Amino acid sequence: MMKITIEHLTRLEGHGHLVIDASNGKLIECRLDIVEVPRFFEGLLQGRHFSDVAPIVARICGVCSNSHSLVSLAATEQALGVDITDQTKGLRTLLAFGEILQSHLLHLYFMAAPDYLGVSSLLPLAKKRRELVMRALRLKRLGNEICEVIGGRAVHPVTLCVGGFSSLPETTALQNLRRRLVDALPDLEATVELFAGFTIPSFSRDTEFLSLTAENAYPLDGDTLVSSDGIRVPVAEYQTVVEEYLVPHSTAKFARASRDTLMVGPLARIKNGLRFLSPMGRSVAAAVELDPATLNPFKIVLARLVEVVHCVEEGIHLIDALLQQGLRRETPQVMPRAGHGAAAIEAPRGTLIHAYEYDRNGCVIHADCLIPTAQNLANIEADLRELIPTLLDLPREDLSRQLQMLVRSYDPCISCSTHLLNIDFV
Amino acid sequence: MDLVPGEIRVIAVGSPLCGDDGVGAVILDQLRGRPWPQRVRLIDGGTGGIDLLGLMDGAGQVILVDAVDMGRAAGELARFNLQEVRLADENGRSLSLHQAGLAEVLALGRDLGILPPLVIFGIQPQQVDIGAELSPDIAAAVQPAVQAICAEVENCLGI
Repeated sequence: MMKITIEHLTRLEGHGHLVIDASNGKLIECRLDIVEVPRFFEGLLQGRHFSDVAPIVARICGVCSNSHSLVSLAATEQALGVDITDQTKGLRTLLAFGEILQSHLLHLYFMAAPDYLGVSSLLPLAKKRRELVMRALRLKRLGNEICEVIGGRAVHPVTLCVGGFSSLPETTALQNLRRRLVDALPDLEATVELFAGFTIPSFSRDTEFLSLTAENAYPLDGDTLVSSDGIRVPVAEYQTVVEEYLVPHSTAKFARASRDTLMVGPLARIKNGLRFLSPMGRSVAAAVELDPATLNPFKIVLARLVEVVHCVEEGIHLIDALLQQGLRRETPQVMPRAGHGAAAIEAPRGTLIHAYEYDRNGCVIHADCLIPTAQNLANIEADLRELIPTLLDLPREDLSRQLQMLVRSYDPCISCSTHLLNIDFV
Repeated sequence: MDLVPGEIRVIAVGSPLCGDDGVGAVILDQLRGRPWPQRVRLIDGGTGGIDLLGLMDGAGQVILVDAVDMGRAAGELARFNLQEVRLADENGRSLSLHQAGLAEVLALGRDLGILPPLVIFGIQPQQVDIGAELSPDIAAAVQPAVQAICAEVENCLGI
């Protein structure tokens, strides 16, 4: 008889417990308890004017505040019939890249790397491997700088508005940013070398991989959802394919699509959009053996690494294009009207959907947010259920370490996923 | 943020949405109402985690302001430096980089040898529950803290 309860899993965003009960080599119970308090953001939005919506939803999360803002603006613009310019699209894409870099680099160095380096955090490495820790801090700051230049600050952007931007970055700031991205390439190279040297646990489980479509570019935004099980629907019809449901042990919703489990995020994007990775991104993917056939969830960490390289390379090209066009001040015209809008973005952890219904005064009647981590939770539990029986001979500490590594590889953002829910505690 | 090397940075840490944890932000607001020479920078460090290291980088002097549970009477103000406090567990066990606490961040900066000269002004909170109000004892501690921090900055400036 073995019962393991890991309370307050560390090195992930938010608070969860892992509860495992096994006896005679058989797994009896395995639960990822999500214990954060629900935060009711969708209720909070009701009655709010369209101009308040994006700043409020940014507060859903301090890690992906930019993604929530961007997808919120896209949903509102759709509802109000507002078109955005190529300049706005370019700047918003750059901001999305900045956030992917912030989030992925934090995960890679501060959450994932300690597992592979045999330490409990980067702190014990500060003296022994100072260069590695300094590199981690430099890279983490790079993502922040992009978000500061485009969004006005590192989290909870202040320059975005419905229809465009209320304030544009200075040309010199974009030029400096470009220089910073180019200067970061040696650090990226060292990062690839570090992660390529890690022994990733071998495990695989087939599931449904869902992301936005990649028809012309690597999945980032778009209006079609696609999955490895053949889903292909407009984002506006997401509720016809992704079903959210409640489980008693979680304050976050779980979700499923064509089968019981569903994965969104970097690995799903790479499987669906490998051919659209930047040249450097593609070669890193090849070097770490990531391809459309990859089914090992531990490899999501490597998918994140590939996306970091992709975002830096594409970010440089995007800045070049913006500088070449020259930034022009635009004054978006937005009139309130009744309407419905649903938009999606590939946030760092996967497909994020916001849908709003507005009344004729431009105030929210109804809001719905589908959060990446909520879509991944059932998948994480299913992975654990399949992985645990193969590890029961290991010493308890090793078993526990490997299970935590699996949960961490999804980089679950529990704070984000628990704002959704009306819950009855039994 | 264009940080200038050598400047004096007053960095407030904490969340204004978590009761007395917002005391740093309230103090910062009061400080903003005064005239300061260019080489004094007032910064809202938010719940900055490891990003605080970037905010401190290159400063001539940092003055950190935060609600700190010191087991003292609510509202009590303490001025201390790094040598006077025990930071994170040597092996980093307390370090969960999600909500990296101030102690962990300072320990990391210390071990990397990248911390500028630093003093901390800690205010003992009464409660850090969700809510935007300071407890009365903590609200009453704001003015004395502002005076003490002003004196500290003036001292750094050689006034």
